[in-house]
Amino acid sequence: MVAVTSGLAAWVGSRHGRGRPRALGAALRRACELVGLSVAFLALNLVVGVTAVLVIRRATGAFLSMYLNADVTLVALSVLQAAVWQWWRSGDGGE
Amino acid sequence: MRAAAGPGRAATVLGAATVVFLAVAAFTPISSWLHARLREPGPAAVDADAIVVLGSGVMPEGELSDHSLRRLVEGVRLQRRGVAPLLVVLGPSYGGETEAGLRARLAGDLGVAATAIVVEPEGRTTAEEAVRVAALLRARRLRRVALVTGVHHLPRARRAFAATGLEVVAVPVSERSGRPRRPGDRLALVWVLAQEAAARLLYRAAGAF
Repeated sequence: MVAVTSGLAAWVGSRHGRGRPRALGAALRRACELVGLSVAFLALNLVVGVTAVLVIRRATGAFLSMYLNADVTLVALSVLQAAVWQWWRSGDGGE
Repeated sequence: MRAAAGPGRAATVLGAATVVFLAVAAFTPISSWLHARLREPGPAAVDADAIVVLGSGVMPEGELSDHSLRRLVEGVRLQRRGVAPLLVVLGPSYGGETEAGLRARLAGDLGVAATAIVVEPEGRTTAEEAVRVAALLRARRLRRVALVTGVHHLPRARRAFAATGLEVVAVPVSERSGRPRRPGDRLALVWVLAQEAAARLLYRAAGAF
């Protein structure tokens, strides 16, 4: 299913848009970079989150579940962080 | 366009490896293989001083979560079959009635005598549950427990309870399929396995076992 829609998008992009076949390779590399940055941000968020839970438990006596760090929204937010960081570093301010 | 140098290239390689990993995890049976390798088999026969049902959660509506219910049903089933005279139910409060209290009521409704049910609602983590149950059973001169919990949680739970000096018979409860058919379910299984692996590292670092 994804292969079909990706192929369709590539055809539309090359026939009717400005997509050049060579630029597709660069786009795939940027996508991989985005995924890698997302993994890095996720790892960082998890380290900070686990540490925060342990520190709060120890310092205040209050109980926070460690499973708060396993919420799926953390993955989505990590991807968002990675995207913003990637675009900011590459100067892609929408121009 | 040249590939970005330094950190950019590292991120690209990491990203490509992640995509390959996710594709393998989602579209091959590797999650089932990991599950089969890491799960502890249930005992052929169970004989214990007490059945201990570990906590799992309560829904915001005040009802036992699916996992909590599965664990409790297995505990009640063992108790009704005569595996042990005592049923210890665990689980703290999540804002309303404690999970242990809810479980005790349901166990009673399912035919377990009130005198056979022990409620322990204070443990908030597996390690705390282990320490509190060990103290409770030591006071009654009991030490062999049938430990009922999710199949993926069991290796860590067993070690935590054994570290308190209790003799543990592990009773795994299936809480999700070990042979998922859909890519999303396979990824969810890998996520659960990864969580438990991380939790085991944390427990080992904290000296829980």
